[in-house]
Amino acid sequence: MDGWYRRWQDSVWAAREVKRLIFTLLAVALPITGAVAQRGPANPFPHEKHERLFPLCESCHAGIVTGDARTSMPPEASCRECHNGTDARAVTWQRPQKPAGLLRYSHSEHARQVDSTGRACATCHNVANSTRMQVSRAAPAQCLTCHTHRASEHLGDDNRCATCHVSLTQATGLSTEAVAGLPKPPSHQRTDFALAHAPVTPVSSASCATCHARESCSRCHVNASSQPLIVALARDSRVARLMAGKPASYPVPADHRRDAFTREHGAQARETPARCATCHARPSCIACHINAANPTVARMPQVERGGAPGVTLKLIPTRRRAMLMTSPPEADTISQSPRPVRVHDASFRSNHKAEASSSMSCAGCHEQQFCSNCHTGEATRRFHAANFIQKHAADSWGRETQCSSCHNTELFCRSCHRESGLASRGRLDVAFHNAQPQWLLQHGRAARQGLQSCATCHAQRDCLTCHSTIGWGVNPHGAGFNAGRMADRNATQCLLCHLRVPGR
Amino acid sequence: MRALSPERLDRHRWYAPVKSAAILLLLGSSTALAQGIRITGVTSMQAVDLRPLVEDSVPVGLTTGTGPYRVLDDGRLVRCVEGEAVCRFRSSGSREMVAPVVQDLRAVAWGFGEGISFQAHVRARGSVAGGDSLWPRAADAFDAIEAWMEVDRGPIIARLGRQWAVGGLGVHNFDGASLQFRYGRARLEAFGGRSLVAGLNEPIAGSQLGSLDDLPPDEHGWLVGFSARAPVSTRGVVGATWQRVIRADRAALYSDRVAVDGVWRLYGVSADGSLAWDVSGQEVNDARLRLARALRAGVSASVEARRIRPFFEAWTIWGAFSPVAFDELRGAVDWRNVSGSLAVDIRGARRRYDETNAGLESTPLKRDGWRAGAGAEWSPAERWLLFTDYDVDIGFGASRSDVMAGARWMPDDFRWVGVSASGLQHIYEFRIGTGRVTGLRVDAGTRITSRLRLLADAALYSHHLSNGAPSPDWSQRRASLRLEWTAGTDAGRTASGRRAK
Repeated sequence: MDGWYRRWQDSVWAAREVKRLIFTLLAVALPITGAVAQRGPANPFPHEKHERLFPLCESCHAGIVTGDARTSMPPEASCRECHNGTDARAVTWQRPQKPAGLLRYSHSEHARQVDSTGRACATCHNVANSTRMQVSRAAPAQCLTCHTHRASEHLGDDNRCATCHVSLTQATGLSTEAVAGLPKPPSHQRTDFALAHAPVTPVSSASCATCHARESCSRCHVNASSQPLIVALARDSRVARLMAGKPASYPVPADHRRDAFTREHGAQARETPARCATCHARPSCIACHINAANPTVARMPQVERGGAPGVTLKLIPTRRRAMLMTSPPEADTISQSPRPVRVHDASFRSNHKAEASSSMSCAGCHEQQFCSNCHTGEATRRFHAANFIQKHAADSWGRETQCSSCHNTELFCRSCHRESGLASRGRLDVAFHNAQPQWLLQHGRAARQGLQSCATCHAQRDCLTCHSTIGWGVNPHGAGFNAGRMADRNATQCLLCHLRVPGR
Repeated sequence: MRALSPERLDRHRWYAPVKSAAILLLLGSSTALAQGIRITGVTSMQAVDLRPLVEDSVPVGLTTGTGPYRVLDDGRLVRCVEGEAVCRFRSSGSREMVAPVVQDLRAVAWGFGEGISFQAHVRARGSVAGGDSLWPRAADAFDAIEAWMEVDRGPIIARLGRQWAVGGLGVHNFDGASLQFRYGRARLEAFGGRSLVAGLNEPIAGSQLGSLDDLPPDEHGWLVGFSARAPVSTRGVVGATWQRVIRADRAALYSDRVAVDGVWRLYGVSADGSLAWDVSGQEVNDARLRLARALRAGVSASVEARRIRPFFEAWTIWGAFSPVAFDELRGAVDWRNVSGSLAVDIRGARRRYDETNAGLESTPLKRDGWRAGAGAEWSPAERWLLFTDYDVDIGFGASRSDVMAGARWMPDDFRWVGVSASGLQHIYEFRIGTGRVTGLRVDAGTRITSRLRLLADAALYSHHLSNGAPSPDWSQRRASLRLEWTAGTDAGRTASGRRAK
């Protein structure tokens, strides 16, 4: 009898410990789900009032330990054994449904482990200095009393969320508000987090899925529908509701901040288009690139209806039009201060010869007619500043830009100078160089230093009046003039001044 | 004198309409057969005050001095012929308003077969007021700037028609064919055909040249050339162009030049350089090297050294006058703040000419020159842009300093209104006297639809002469109106309105 009683006592004690453990674990789990889960029944069972009636937890929750769902909670009829309206007031109690929370937890599995170490329900479900039936939901910290060997803290970078949590889409018991209230790990607060948050392993991907659904990604990722890691995430209506109207956020990668990036990004786009497509859709490209059929541009995704807008680029309204600007789709995004992107420097407009002649990238953004808009001599695009007509003389003498790049300097200039009375219409019949002291003696130097400017007024025959053997015979050739070389090029020109080709 | 013969002028009279008809026929048939066509039109009309040249005379008694050139009381020189009672001179007449109109049409048609497309750019000119003679080329009613057919088959692109040769030697138009091979990022192109005058878009022996020069070339020129571009590494690219223009009778060369250009980027420094070499004259026409680097905190700087010696085609005699080169060192620094709302740039250059070996030591001429400038743009609010510029250029021949400041307001992405004021002070080139010009200009633009844009501006300039300047008062009114439109489809190209402003 004594042995039987002792064994019974031991078993009661063991059961009590298991029960304590289970309740403790529940106490750990429930605050998680408590923050995130729908609440249980409206009239939860008042454990404390029944402390003396139920000396053992497994009296009602035997199935918790064994894993038998049917006996994990008492049948509803068992309340009526006392609360029948005669012995005690009648009550209604419904068997609580297991909330589909975020917790990935098996009581039976833990019971076996905990049982082997001699702990029970109270480990998780009783707070310190409380009685057995003062049960509470399990707190996450309780989990970490065992699961600390891999994680520094509950929301630490090194934690594996999926160890204890199911994916958000499986936690159907969570309300939208509860999803919105999920705690944000410290790592997500870092400024560089948005630039390097892509999960690299299935484990880290599962960690993301604890709190995120596909809509979390497709808010910003233009190519969300083609990224396996994103597609692997299920859709979730609660997240969709939370993301609706929330602007996309596009931080600027460090390499984009280099001036050279504007010129070098084409090679990157060809090699790693998926990286670009993370934030950029095709409209980003065709803000500058004229050919949407370009293979690299064509590989960029289109903006999907309801999908991420992608980074918006637009031209800065400058006078010189050499800048782009990244523009936020909404005002309160990370790109709140639009960042200008330099395409060409300020002097490029008048100094692009080498670039245009050797580079193969001009055609990416400019049609060939863009060149002829200026280089046909009568620009259809305004190249010169306002009032250039009246101030162009100094530019012409100093060749700040090569006039002959766009104009036939002899004819284009001369026709205007003639009609406006500035040019000669014969040999010396217009005294343009008025009262210039000793002009006749100076003009040779001036002509050699700025012959193109002379030719904007003077026709060839003006000079031949003096500078030819049939005129006054004044030799116009300078030091080092190679008559033979000129004759080899075009001997007929020699005959304009000489009676025979010199040297022949 | 080798002016155009009457026969040649007659030929040119009927050539232009035939040319126009042919191109319009080509455009029309292209439109009918094309899978797609896009036409862009630009209508530009200006109204400008000009003072045309007039001939005048004064009695000999009102002149001072002796000989064929004498002086009036106001300093003007007049030409007197012995035995005549008057001396003659030319001066600017009373102010007249000219209103040239230029209509450009560009058409691109494609879909005639794999890689086959047509492109044409034609221009019509006219004058609403003031006559044709006062505005350059206003009498040249029609011009085909380019019109070519292209066959693009993977690594090979062939073009036939009037087209551009673009390279280190500039932009040259010609009637002919080109064949381009592409291998990776490398390009090799051969081209040839009848050469047109650079910057004039007319045949070398055409009427345009003949009407303005008393010694025009009497033979057309044939252009042949090659160009190549290739990356030399991931950081650099090099291009080379060789062009030769041969007189049609093969008796002479009009030009024979080669150019090499390259761009290299290393350690954040962008270096670009070019060399243009006159093969037949064995002279450097253009050599330049520019280094640019983006420094910290939004600052970029560039420095450039260049040597320029003007090039004249061999159908002129100018090359025989031994023009000299100048060397120039240029530098520029610009800064833009992080938000891009404020930008400042300063620039400067100093040049020096080679010894001319002309004239007398006792009558020296300035052999150097310099220029400097600064500008700023500030956007105090999203829809406002303020800007200013100042430049000074001191050199031989002419000097000037000018300043301008303005503001632009953009109520939305489709419209803007701007106003600017300017002041200019200059010393006339190789003349006595100075002048000041003050101006006020307003401009506005609106994108009516994504394919229709209208721009307009009007300006008033007031000219003040001083120090006995001989020039007439060139106070002017100017206005322009410009309508740009696009019709048709886009073949993988962005909408025409992508540059809305």
